[in-house]
Amino acid sequence: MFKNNNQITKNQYMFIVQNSMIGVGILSLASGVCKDAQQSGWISVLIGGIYPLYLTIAASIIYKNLYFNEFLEINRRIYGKFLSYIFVIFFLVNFILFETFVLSGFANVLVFSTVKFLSPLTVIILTIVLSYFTVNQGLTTVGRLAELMFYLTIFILIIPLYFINKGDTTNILPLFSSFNSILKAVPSTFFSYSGVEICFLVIPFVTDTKKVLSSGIIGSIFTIALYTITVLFTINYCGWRLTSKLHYPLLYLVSGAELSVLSNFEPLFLFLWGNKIFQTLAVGNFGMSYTMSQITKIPLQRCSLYLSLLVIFISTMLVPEYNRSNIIDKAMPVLVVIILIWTTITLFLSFFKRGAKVEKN
Amino acid sequence: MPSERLINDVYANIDLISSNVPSNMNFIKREVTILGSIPCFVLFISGIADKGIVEEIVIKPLMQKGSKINNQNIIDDLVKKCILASDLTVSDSIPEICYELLNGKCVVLVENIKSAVICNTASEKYRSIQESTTEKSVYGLRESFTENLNLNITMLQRKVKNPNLKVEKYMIGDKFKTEVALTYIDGIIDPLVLTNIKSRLAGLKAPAIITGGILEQFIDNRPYNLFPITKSTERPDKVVFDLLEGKAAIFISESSTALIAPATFFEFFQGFEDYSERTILANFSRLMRFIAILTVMILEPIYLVLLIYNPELFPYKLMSLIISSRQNIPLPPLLEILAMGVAIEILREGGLRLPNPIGTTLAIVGGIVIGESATRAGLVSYVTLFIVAITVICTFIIPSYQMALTIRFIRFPMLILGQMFGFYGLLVGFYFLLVHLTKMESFGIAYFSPIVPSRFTDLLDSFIRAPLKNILIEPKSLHPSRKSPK
Repeated sequence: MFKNNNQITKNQYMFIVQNSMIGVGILSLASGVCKDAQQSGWISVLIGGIYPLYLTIAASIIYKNLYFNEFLEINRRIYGKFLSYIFVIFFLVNFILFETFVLSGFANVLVFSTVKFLSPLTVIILTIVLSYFTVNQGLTTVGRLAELMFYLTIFILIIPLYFINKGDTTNILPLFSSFNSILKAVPSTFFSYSGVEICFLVIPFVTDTKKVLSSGIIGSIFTIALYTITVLFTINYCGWRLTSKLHYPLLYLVSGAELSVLSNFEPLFLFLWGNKIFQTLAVGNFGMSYTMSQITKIPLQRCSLYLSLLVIFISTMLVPEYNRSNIIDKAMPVLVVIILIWTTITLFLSFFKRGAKVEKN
Repeated sequence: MPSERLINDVYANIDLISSNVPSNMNFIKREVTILGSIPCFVLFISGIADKGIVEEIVIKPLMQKGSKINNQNIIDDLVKKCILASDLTVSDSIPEICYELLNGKCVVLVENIKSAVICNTASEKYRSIQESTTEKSVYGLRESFTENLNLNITMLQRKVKNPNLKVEKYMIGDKFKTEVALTYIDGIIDPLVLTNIKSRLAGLKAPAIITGGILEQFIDNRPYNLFPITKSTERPDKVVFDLLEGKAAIFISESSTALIAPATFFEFFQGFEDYSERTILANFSRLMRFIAILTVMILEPIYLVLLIYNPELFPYKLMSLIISSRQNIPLPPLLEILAMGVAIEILREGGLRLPNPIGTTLAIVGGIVIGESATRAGLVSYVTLFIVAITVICTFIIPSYQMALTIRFIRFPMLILGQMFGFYGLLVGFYFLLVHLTKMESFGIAYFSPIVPSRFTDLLDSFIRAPLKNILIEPKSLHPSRKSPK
């Protein structure tokens, strides 16, 4: 029998928040924002960072107002039994979609770059097995891994720094093109920031709940900084025109340097990034398994197993990349808007429902 | 059902005891008459008990003073006026008497008395204290543990002059009992860790415990786990160091190794000399060790993957060199690497079993001859041979033999994954290892600590070794009850 352990430290919460957002989006983010904001795309990324910041701040306030009960319980307190199930199901669907978007994107990138000989299905199946293996003992392992993977994030940040002197600063000038175009590019950053919704599920498991707010903010800021810097360096190196035409501009960037023993940074980058993707998928897997477990009362491990099979099925339909891009373009704005509305209403109502203390589950 | 207690009939008592100990020729039942006509028997197992000591402190006094003891209070007088042993007890329990006989003690039985005197006459003839052959040290002590449990504990007590040093004994084994001693420093070891260790030892079900390696496997709940959850050592100075950090040491009777629990992943790569060397030199050694570990695990698989799936990732000059060295090589790269790897593993295993000088000769001559002939015959390329040789040399830098075996083994599944899935296979293997290591715990302590959960003060003695004044403290990661990391 599996033993479930879901407790995490405040640092692990911070790393989960930080890590949950780093997915396939980091590779294509620069391309999306440069189409509208041109050389000022990095400013759109910075502004888009309001989304994860808002969600993490709102989540910590909501939980503080509702005494850190579990997700289903806080929904029940605010919306009653029926609506609470509807919202939890919505989050379940959100995490299933998140998982499939990231997984299929990962398979597409790998097959596009270093493992051309593998079929996407092989990548999808093996990756989901790893994701299941990570989650099957609960959130503690996910938290510990997020902590470990944080150190890899630092290396991901170091690789673009190699190109700091290699670009041309005229590529990013003038800094501000048009404020309207910068704002217009902001929605395209939301996919890169999705995943942060996990904060709504994991806060009750943090041992030191006093620091939840600051941990969430720091975790978000780290990812916003990482995204902004990578986009800035990509534009600086490639120029906005080329960046906007590439599928994965960051991959193009890292493959532009020759080392003594490897022809470029691409395999090293994919190695670091791949580990982050596994971790992001584990966070998503926990999100969907946990919400399903809350609704159905089926143990987390079994939920994870069933949903993993479902994710394999959906992910294979999102290959090749244009299938995935089409669906993401349609689904992401809807998901983000619903989450923002739900967050705002819940935040508002949580101040009114804070009256009686509810026993922690 | 036979009686568990002694009765008045001394001959019946001897029969009862004889049926519970191996009645071989070395089971001695020496009869002595005391008080003129009362039969008295001295029982011992020659060899386990020292015959000379038995004669000197038990039989001789009985013969000389046996007639002078008080008839009303025979056992009391035997203990107080006759037998010269400093360590003796009185018991009427037959299982206890039988057990003590097997431990080398001698038993004095008297007709019409329902108690026996048990004297410690155990033979101390063990291997003398020598320098460890498996854990050499430049700056460390020149002594190592022996097979004598009491001597091992004495060696420890001589070094740890602390009233809180505790020694607790457990009897473990279904088919035969083995004495196991748990030592720790009360007040330093975390109560949660101690409870965890004690409960594992107390609840241990094993047919027999012969060595530390066997005990460790019975303690670990996961029989297929590759990574050791305790450190084994022959060196008392290492044990002292670990006790001071808040760990426990487990000694097994008739075994010369101590098990240190709990153990975390990074400890296995820390040499004991690291603490005796100057800070910068110690850090350099550690850095070399960690590079070596990564080399052992991934150099061969990366070479294989680049060779068969991603040759474009080699820089041009390196690629042309590899192509020229691989011309006319009939074996596929995987077989080439596996063949050389397996040959070296066989040589290493052979070198271990053979006597020292022959083993070394076999390893050197075998390695050179096989390598040279394989490349000359065109079966293996020079580059492959170089990669395999570097990998094997790197394994020798890992201070712990247990961990070196594990790390050496890991490269084989990584090779298979690399062959099957290319670069992605290596990624999968590496991540799987990380998940496994972060999930693991050793007696309630996260195996990957102090990296995960992060304990920044403990990191000063992990990949790096900070100045001693900063690290000779009790590590926070070993004290979960002080603050609860998960």
